[in-house]
Amino acid sequence: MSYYFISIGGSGAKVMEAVTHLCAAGMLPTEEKLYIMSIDPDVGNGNLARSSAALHCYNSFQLFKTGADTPLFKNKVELANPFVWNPTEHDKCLDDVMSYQAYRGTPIGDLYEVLYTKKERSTLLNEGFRGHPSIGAAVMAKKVAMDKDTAELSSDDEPWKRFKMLVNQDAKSGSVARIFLAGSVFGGTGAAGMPTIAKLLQQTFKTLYDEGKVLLGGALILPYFSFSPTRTDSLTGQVYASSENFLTNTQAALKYYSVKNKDEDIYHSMYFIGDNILAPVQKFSVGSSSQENDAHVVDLYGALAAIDFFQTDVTKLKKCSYITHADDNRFSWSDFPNLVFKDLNGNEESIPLKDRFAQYIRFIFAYVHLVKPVLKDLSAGHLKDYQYPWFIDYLEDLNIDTLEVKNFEEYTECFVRWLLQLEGKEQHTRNIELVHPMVIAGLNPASIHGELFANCVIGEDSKITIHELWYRLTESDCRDEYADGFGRFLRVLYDCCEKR
Amino acid sequence: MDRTKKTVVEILGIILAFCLLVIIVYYAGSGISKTFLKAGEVTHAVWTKHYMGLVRVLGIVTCILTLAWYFFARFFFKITNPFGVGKRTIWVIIGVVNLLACIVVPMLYVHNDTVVKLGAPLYVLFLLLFGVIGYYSCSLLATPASYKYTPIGAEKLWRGMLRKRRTKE
Amino acid sequence: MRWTSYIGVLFLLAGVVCVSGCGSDESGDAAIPSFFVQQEASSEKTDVDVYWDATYSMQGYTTIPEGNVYRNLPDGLEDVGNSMGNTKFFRFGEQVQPLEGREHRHFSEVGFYDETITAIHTVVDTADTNHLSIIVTDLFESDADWSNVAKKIKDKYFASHLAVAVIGIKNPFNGDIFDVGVDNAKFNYNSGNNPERYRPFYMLIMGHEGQVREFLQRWKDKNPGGNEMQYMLLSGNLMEKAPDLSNMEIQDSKNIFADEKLNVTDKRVKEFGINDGDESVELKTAFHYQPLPNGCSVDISKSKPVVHVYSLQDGEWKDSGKDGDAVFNIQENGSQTGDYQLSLKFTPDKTLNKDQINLVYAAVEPGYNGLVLPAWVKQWNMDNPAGVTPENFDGSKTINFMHLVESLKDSVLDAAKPALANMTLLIKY
Repeated sequence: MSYYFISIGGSGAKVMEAVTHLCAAGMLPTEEKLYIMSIDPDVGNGNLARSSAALHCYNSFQLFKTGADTPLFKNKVELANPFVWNPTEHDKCLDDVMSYQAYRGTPIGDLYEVLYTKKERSTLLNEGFRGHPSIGAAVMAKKVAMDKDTAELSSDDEPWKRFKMLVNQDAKSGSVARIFLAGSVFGGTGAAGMPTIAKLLQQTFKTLYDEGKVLLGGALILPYFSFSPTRTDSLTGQVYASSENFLTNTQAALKYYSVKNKDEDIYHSMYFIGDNILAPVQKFSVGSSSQENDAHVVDLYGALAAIDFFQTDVTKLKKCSYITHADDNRFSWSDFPNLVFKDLNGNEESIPLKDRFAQYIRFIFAYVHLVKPVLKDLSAGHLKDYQYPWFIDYLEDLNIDTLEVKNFEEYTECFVRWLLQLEGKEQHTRNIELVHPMVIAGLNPASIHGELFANCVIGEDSKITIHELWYRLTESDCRDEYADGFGRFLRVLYDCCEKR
Repeated sequence: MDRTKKTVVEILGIILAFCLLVIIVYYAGSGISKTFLKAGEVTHAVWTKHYMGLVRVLGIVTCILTLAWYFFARFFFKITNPFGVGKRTIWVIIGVVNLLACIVVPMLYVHNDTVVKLGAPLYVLFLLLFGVIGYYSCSLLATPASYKYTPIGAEKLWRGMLRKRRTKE
Repeated sequence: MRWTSYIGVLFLLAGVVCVSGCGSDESGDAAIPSFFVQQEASSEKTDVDVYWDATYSMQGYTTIPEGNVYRNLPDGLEDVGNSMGNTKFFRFGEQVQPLEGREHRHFSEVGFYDETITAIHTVVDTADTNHLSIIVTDLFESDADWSNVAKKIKDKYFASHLAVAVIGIKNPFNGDIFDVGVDNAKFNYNSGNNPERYRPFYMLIMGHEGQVREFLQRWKDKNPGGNEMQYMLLSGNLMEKAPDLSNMEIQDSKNIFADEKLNVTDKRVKEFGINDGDESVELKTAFHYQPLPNGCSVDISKSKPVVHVYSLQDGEWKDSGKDGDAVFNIQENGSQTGDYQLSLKFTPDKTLNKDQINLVYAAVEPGYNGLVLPAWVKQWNMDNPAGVTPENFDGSKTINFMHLVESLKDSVLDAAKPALANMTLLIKY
């Protein structure tokens, strides 16, 4: 195993959601497994809940046998257990974490009192670090058990115990462990975790790091959204993140990384991603489940940054990377970097993102529009199966009332919602020209306008109408001997969505 | 084989099948006519000449009806959503029209042509070969993929073949 | 790949069906057996040869002028003959001698008759069957060997489906009659001017039936009244138009149907097909019997329906060799006199030869005594020449006339095999 992804905080979770979808679409360069974990003290974080829902769904159905030689579900994931590492305990404040009482009255204790305000020290950390990276950094540094020897690590030290074991295994087998972190630099958890976790990883795997067998990359998310706390929230005197401070925080963070890179050179590659136009968040939230920001194109860039890190040869990795788009008023497919795919012989092929992802989008839309509405009734015999030849050909003998199928259907909902949010005009003043603005008809359940299917991906007249898709589905068969069961059907559906 | 080639092959197959049926009906009918033609009536040779005209006409009519189902299924029926995709009723209706044609067309032909005389066995022959075997087998074997299981019995036939093929693979 | 295989199989099937299912279009001429063929009555112009009996017996016809048809006969015959073609006259006794120029007019004179032997059989031998031959005679053959004459007429004329007519004409007679009876007695007879005592002489008209009938008609037209004249036609045809499948109405049929695969040119022969070889075939036709003008009538009750089955083997018609179960009947049809129904029945498997062209000839033959001679024959006949004396000799009759005519009748029955009606079926089975 060579790929590791760690999301830190809410922004990191949103990048993780994008990574999930790209992974399911088989966008990673090789067929290596991707180990994913999340760091967030705000366990009930809405962003985390949403992005991890898609990931957990994928984790469930990723074993569908879609066959060899297809990008569909090519990249398997392993989720950390526990998936979300919470550096804090429930109803604890900073004083509790740092064991202030033991150091009270001592010089360390006095220093501690100088560095943190009373409010900061006494605020419960159940909802994260409230945009105060200084709190987060201290907590994380205290809690990550990476400094212990592997033999000393216990089950209480998960998921770090397994993480360490896997990285060491990679090194032993001769492969390079590429660890990618994603988090914001302007918020709380992300800002705290990005430098702290990276530093801790570097220290833990120092030897391997120096040998080049461990590579560290990071997507540092710069400000891209803004919000205004409500009058009530501001009057209660709570500690919360403030978007007015984002740019200031960012500036400070970037200065820090600049200095750190000169001295310590932690990250092999850093990707700075932000937006000069801050998307307004509709509903302000201090944290927890109510903090659920819509998907943003920055998330997608963050995920693509991860893929770029995974696919780029170590000698070609850039220290700092950034990306622009051609037209300030819009984002289109050409504004995304190409993907590089490597076969078993090491041959590389560079393909525009649209070429692969468009097919995946059509695949999900096709399932949502043609299959999902009728599958249950077909299986229960409430519909006449002869009207659905694809059901007879692929699904008639299967039990589709399984967790995997349910999870896949849930995943499609997540994907459509993510795509809709990505396109959403509420948060952008620019056009996001990835899919047709009207193609998604609704959510819960997800539905699309069938007549727009052929042109659902902007810039690509696939000529695959719903009728054409139906025809392809009923006339083709999957010849891949490794495809089986429900996966076989999905494979056929995916292949039928290919622009020919 | 790509779809266009397959379409051409299927259309040609339907036409060829009906050519074959015309030949079979002609020879079978010629034989059957010997049971009801009388010595004092039109000679068998003359009767078969006129009968051939009828068989050709009927063959063309039923072939057109069969091709109508094919063209509807291939080019005219459009699927935009997964509801209301069943077309079996239309298939049945065309089949019934086909059967009616097997009775009406000969009756009209005989009405205009004073030479041809038909007996009940010939009507049964038309119904069986053109109406049932012709339309049914052609629609069974050559319905476009989108509606390949619409003809009754197609499911059993094609599913069995699909499973056999997959077992081999 | 699967679809190309299906199309390939379909093409192959179509080809097999086309090749194997193609009914052989046997349009070869199926020549009808010659024994069946009846010469079409021909009425084309023909040359007429008149053979005049120049024996002494004939002198008596020239002597009495009143009511004498005989004396005008040479001119009469020449007129009628020339209207049909070229007329040539011959005189015969023992030998046949042609006459030149107007010599034949001398037959009106007594002195022209000087032959002693009547050899009509020689005339028959000499006669050209392509001409219309007329023998003027009193029917007194030397040695009374009428059987020989009848046989020669049978072989030469009836066997070739030619016809022979007899015109009997009563004429005044005063003279000697020679060769009476087996002893060749000579009687003298004088009819005077009593038409009832007129003595008959005869003209035997021999040739194609159409020409014979034409002559009869023209003779009748030229001789509408006057002396008693009687006619009788002996021919293979018993009706004006023989009822056959070209003119009979098919009333009913079973297990048989009309067909046209073989190239049958003779309209009297009809081609049929059989549906089931095991099942009985039935064919019923109807016709109206009208005796031939001047011909012999048929006693239907004595008629004999016959069926012959032949099959074409190596280009020849041969007897089918099968016992068969063919049955052919004639019965009255309805209440109308003269209407009859013919019914043919047979089982194909038992009667026909498989994979061969079969000819089924079903006919109603007159049968023994079925052909009825006209009444005048008996009236003009004098029997029992052995007991004839000058006292009981009746010169107004002809000795053994009946015998002669019956010989001719038997000859025509035997040689021409006349059929009252027939059904000739050609079946490729």
